[in-house]
Amino acid sequence: MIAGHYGLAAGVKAWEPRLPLWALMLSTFLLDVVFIFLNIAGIEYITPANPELGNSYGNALIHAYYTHSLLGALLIAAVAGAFAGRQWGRRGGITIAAVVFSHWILDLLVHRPDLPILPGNAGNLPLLGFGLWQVPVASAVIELALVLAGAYLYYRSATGLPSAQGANGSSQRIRALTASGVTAALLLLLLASDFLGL
Amino acid sequence: MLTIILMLALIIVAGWFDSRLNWQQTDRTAQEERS
Repeated sequence: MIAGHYGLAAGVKAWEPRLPLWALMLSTFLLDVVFIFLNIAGIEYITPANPELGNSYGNALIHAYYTHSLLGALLIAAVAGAFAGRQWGRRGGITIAAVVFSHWILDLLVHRPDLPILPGNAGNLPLLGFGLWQVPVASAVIELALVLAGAYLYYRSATGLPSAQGANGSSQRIRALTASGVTAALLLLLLASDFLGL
Repeated sequence: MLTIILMLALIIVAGWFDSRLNWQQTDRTAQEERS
């Protein structure tokens, strides 16, 4: 799941408007950002669930035993929330932490059982994952629902903004429609691109 | 590759368009409502 994470972040903007969209988008993807560094270091990696299907949508086993462990995700969320709290206050920090951790919750839904509870899969506890990726169409439909809901909530919030003092109301509305349109278009393109394995 | 470009575009491009909107006014209105 990629676009679904971003759709959720766009929707959160309606609930906490003072948080910049870039911060919400980065937060929703933060576990994967840390994963990229550990992947380069050779600590975490991805293998195809079915080698014959190659790079197709949802055909992945993600061996991210630190960034995508339950405890690891909570720790990354807490650190991100603490940093965000210094910039945007307590409520902003809690929101950012929740958005970071939402990544793990959504991954739990779609991943095959490859999400450990403790970092490094300490204790060899059962790996978690409901495996919705095994039914790619169902997973894509859920992602589409997240994208559409997020884009709509963002649009509703952006177009409901009051004009700045002295600003032209119609130019403000055009800006809101442009921001909403760009966000929605990029979300839909991202979903299509991921689904087609581009 | 396209997927990665789009992910970055969402953060940078959508984030830039978002930053041009008057979100601070919403905060001020919410604070006034709370007080």
